[in-house]
Parts: sequence; structure tokens; C-alpha cells
Amino acid sequence: MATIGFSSARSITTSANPPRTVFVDLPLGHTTGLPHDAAGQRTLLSEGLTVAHAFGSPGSVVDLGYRFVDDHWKESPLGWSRKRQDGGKSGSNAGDTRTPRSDEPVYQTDDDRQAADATPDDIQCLSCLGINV
Amino acid sequence: MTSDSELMVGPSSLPPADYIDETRRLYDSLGYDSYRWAARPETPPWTGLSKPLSECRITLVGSGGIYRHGQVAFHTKDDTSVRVIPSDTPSDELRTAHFAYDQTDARTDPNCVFPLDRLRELADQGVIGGVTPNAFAFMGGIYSVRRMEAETASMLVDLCREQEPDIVLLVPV
Repeated sequence: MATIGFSSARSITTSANPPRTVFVDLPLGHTTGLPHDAAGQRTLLSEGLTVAHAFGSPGSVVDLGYRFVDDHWKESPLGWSRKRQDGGKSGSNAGDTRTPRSDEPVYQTDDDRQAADATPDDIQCLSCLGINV
Repeated sequence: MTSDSELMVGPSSLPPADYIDETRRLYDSLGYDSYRWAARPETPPWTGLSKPLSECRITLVGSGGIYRHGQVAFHTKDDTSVRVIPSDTPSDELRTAHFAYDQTDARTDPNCVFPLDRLRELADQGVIGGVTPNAFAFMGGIYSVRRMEAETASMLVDLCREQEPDIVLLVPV
């Protein structure tokens, strides 16, 4: 199967060396664009697919030539957050800011949890593959 | 792009963020060994594309921890499972469960990391041939490269093959 990949983490992608990749210079969490910017998302996808579709040999990572509105996020790329971008404080950069790992599902909302719990196991198994339901 | 879009055309004044270097420095500061990222220097496998893009059917695969309302969310301890997301799923039914990126914008607009709406639109516009019936999502924060390949990637290969796509579009986070 032919694959085309987008990336906003160039060094990681280069190391993994997939067949076709286009790069967008945006903070993590925006691989295919910024929120509610449908035109920008379509532009990235359309141009990225067109560019990568034309590759003649494997292993290239081509920069599409798009960047974020300002460069300040690169001062702490692992610490970028929407809250900080919009002027809020989101805690210290110092110390271990990693989230403790857990094998409990992390639902976006309680309503999601309730909906999942209400889904019959045989239905759940068809769409959630590789978990113990 | 509107005048108040955060997406700019043109190169940044700074080089791309180097997450291999950033995580190495973070782990060093915490007294941990460096993480061993997947390194594949050999020439990658290649499947040519003979059809025009406008005729290509696309299967979307995203690693941003996308799940659909009603599905079990991902957990954060090497969750190698996969979610089947019908490609006609409205984006307001999509959710995220991840730990390695700020999910605020993806939860506001899942198309930032799982662009189903946009792909459907590009199909309507004739830019692409179409979207396959199903898309797939997983949570890419899996520490073990071996388990990622043996479990998640293995499932995804079979799932994608069943869709008979011309292109598998990979959207990592």
C-alpha cells in the first residue's frame, strides 16, 4: 500500500524514514492545521497530498513552507499549550512535568465514559480492537 | 486562510523543533537514559502511485488518540489498541485521549489531528477520489517500538488492506 505522511516533528520522522512525508512547522497537536481554520486545513492537505503524490522515490521529507503565527513556541516546544499561547500561565517548565501513566481509559468527558459503559461488549469489540473489553 | 489565521506562509526564522534533542535533554535533566527512537536508515519500502490524486481513495490513520463517543478511550500505559472510525463520523462525535501533546485545539476541532471533515470536502471538490468507508486511530504514545510494530502496526496493516485504499494517509502527532 502506498503511504503519505504528514509531520510536525521533523527529526523524529527523519529517523523513522518513511517513504513519503510532508512537513508543517507547527506545534504538536496541529499536524493538519489550526483549529477552525478549515481553509488552512484544506490547503495543507491538498498541497501536501499533491506534493507527496508526485514523489518519484522513497525517503523524502519535504517542507510545505507553512509555519505558526509566531516563533516563540520554539523556545519550549514540549511545553506549548493553547493556554500559554493565548497569554495564560500553564505552570512551570522546571521539573518532571510528565503525566503519570495509567491503564485506565482517559475519557474526554464523563458523558463519554457513560456512553462507552453503555455500549454492549460485542459491539464495542468491533470498533475497539486489541483491548480487553 | 483568513487574516486572523495562525497559519502563516513562508519559513520560520528558527529551525524546526528537534523533539529528539528536546526529549534527550528532558530525560538527562531527570536522570533517565535517552529514549531510543525508531531509526530506519535503510531505504524505505516503496509502492508507486500510478493513478492521479483525483482518483485516489484515501484511508486516514491518525495517532492522536482519537476515539468516537461511545468507544472506550485510550489509556496512557502503552495502549497498543486501535479504534475503527467510520469515515462519515461527524467531527463533533470525535474525542481525544492522549498524554504527549496539548489536546485543547484537537478537542476544539479534531480536524487538527484527524481531518475527516476536510478529506470529505476534498473528495467533494474532486481533489481526491474519495475516502474509504473506515478510518483508524491509535494513541501514539507507546514507549515500546517493538510492541508498536508487532501489535498496533500489524493490526493497522490488515485493517487498511481491507479498505483497499490507493493511499494510506498517516497523520502522526
